[in-house]
Amino acid sequence: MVDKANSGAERLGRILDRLAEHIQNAPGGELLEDARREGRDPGQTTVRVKGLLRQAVTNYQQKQLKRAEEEYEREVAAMKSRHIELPRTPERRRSLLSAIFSQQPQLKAAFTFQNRGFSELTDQDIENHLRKLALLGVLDETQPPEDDE
Amino acid sequence: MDQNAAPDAPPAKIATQAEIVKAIEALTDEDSERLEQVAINRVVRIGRPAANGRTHEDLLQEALARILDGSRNWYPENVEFAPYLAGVIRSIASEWAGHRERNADLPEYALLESQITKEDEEGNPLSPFDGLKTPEPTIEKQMVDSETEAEQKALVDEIERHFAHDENAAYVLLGWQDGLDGPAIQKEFGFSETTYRTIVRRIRRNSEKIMEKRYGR
Repeated sequence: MVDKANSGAERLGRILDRLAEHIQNAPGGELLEDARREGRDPGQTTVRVKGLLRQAVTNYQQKQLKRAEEEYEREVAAMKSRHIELPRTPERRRSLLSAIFSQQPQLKAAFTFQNRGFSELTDQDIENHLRKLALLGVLDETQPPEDDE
Repeated sequence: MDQNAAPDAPPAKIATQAEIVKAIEALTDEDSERLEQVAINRVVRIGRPAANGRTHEDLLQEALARILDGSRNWYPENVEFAPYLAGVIRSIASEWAGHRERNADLPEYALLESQITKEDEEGNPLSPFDGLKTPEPTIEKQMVDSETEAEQKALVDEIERHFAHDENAAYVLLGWQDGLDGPAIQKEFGFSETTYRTIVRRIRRNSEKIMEKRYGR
């Protein structure tokens, strides 16, 4: 049944839709033969198309990286802005971490001591671990040692 | 329970970024030629206003970006990369066309409008943003629509003129414009399938040249 196109846009649209179908289904060899006949080098087309697609990959990766950096910066800022109350002396901090590990032994594995025993952890290691645990909310769930200040 | 029933096939896996990169590197000359032609065809099809300054190269890159970011999922087990990418290209071009149609008043479409908007009847400069609050079709939109129509009519007229002395091609072009598909045209004009395909190939090759002259490649 004839369904006449009324406008220039519609006429062109119908022609281009049929041509698109043809491009999609035409044998590849035919497309290449026609390209060469028109003076185009198919190898150059491939270089250009692959270059565009590689650039799109790079753009996407850079966006991902930027997003990760922004996320990291947000987390760092959140850590910095949060006030963490730790025991004042190194001994009391060590005692608190020991209490945490005895109350929640499963955490000990997560905070790997790199083959070092608990007693070998430096004061700085202890403080860092406590800060991480505080951010995870573990300190709120821990019963402080009895001799804590 | 049927003991002989085939176990459920494992669900197809979405391509990883590494698989996508590998597929790009594996594209053949035929794939690249086809992809570029599809992208050019679709950008011309939607017209300059909907493309809004974007080229067929932007369309290719946008299609890949959608696959990478997961808004379009490529399942390598189900379909090869090049045909899948071509499908995404077609779909995004339709999306661009629809987006402009639905959001013609958005400032992002003002670039092109500003190129055709000079001054009002009294000679005062017209801003492409003037009509943003107006729900009625703006003067700018009407101007863009009429410019698109004029441009696309000129292109289709040029294609027809090119084939004015090629009777068979002229019949096929006429048939397409009347909404006929290949089998209907073959029946109507008594073409064999091979003849029809040869004519279409000729139309494609020459139309490409005409579009390239107007839009570049």
